Formats: sequence, C-alpha cells, structure tokens
Amino acid sequence: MFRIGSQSAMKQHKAQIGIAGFLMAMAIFSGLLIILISTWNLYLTRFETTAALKEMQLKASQVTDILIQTQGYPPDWEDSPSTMLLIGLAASDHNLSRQKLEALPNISYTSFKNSLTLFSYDLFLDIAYLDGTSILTYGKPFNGTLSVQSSRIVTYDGKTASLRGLLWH
Amino acid sequence: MMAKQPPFVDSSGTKAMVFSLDAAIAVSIAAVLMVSAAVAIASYTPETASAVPMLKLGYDVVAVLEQQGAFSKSEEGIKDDLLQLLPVNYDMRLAISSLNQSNATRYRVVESTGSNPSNRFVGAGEMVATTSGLEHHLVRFWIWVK
Repeated sequence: MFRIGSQSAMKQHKAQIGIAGFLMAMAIFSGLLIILISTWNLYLTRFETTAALKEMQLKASQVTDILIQTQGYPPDWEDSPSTMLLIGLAASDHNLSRQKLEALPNISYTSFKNSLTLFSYDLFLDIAYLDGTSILTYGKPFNGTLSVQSSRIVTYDGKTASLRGLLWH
Repeated sequence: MMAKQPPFVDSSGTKAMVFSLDAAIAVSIAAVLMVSAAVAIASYTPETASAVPMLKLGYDVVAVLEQQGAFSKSEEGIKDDLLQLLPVNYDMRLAISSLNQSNATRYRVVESTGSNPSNRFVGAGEMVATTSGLEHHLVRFWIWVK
C-alpha cells in the first residue's frame, strides 16, 4: 500500500512540474512573440518612412532642377501665364528670371502643381538672397506629416540667392 | 522488484533537462537576433538619402561659380567665391583643367579646407564650365559634410 501511495504522489508531483514548466514556457513564448511583433512593426514603419522620404527627396530634387534650370514651356509663359504648360523660373541655367518670378504669383497653385506632376505632394517655395533678404515665397506652407527640403544655390539680378523647395504631404 | 535506476538515466529527468536546454538555446538565439535587429534599426542612417542633395549642392556651386565668371580668376579668387557660396557645414575641393589647347597644361586645385575626410561619404562630380572669354574648363569636384 505504501509503495502504491508513494508512486501516486510522485506521479502527481511530476504532473505539477509539467504544468508549471508548460505555463512558464507559454509565458516566455508569449513575451518573445510580443517583443518580436512590436520590433517587426517598428522595423516596417522605419522602412516605410525611409522609402517615402527617399522618394520625396528625389521628387524635390527633380522639381527644383526643373525650376532653376529651365525656362518652362512655352519659354515666354510669363507674358501670358494662362498658357503655361510647364513651369520654369530660369533665364538661363541657375540664373533666375525677374520676369518669371514676378509672373509666378499670377499662376494658380493648382496649375503650378499639375505642371510639376506633384500628385499627392505639396510644395512651398522660398527664394531669398544668401543674406536672408526674401525675394519671393509661393505655394502651400507645410501642414502635413512628412517633408523634405531641397535647397539650391542660384543667381538672381547678379547676386547669389537660394531657392528652397519644401515638398510635403 | 524493479531495479533502481540512477538519477541521470531517469526518463522524465532527462527530458526535463533536454527541454530546459532547448528553451535556453532558443531564448539565447532569439535574444541575440532581437538585440542585433534593434541595434541595426537604431544605427541605420540612409547615407544615399543625403548624397543626392550633397551632389546637387556641388553642381549648383560649380554652376554659380561659372555664372559669376570665377573660373577666369586665380586660385585665391576662386577660393574666395567658393567660400561665399558654400554652406558652412560643407567642404569642397575643385580640380580645374583647361580644355583649350593654348592652356592645356593649366591645372588648378582649389580647396575650402586643407583636410580630406577619410571616414565619411564624399560626393564627386564633373562638369564643363565656360568663361566669358570662351575658355572651357573641365571642373571636377569633391564635396563632403564637415
């Protein structure tokens, strides 16, 4: 009898150890799973943000390239802004045209945005001399979640100036 | 009567040890992977993202120097113009070779600083610049963050 009772108690003890081990393993596994999922989500978010910023940086560079290197189309769009198909602010490469800058406010923001195929992005332009004196601001100021800036050096009226394009969405 | 077995061959004890060892190895591997991933995420800086604006800045500086007629000046004159244009957090080196046969040996190097970086990204490019006297120069540049 004693022997049978002793074996039964031992089996019960082993079963308790088995359940405790199982629960501990489950707890560790759940903890690791939670950490893994949160790390993965963080990783994905960072990659998505980095990819979006890279795409926006490229777009901002392309847009500022068009603005400072081309006259636009037609080349004399500033004479009749309503005929403008492609915006360009240069008189020559890296040299901004006074007439085009004066005509820019007469272009609606929608036409400006469509001519540069900005789609879901918005753009704010800030043109100033290097000493900080403002020449012109145009576009939609930042009111979104992500933004990149493309800052370019140009000449305007024989002086050095900067054209800053803030692309955002 | 059953023969008494030593503890190390007890079947449940061996299984427990194997499970514990297995769990310990799994936890160690998972921990190493997660720490590595976290370190990689925290230290990831997309260098190529900053390379595009840096290169654009280099081309802009050379283009504006060309507009200002700087390439017909001496090295000191070009350096003065360069320092006025270049943002304070950048350094730049220009190597200017004359493409005109009469000046074929004329080679000038202009640097905003004497030190070259050895441990960071350096953007490089080249373009042809023309002076008002219709002299053509091949301008190679290297640009980096200070």
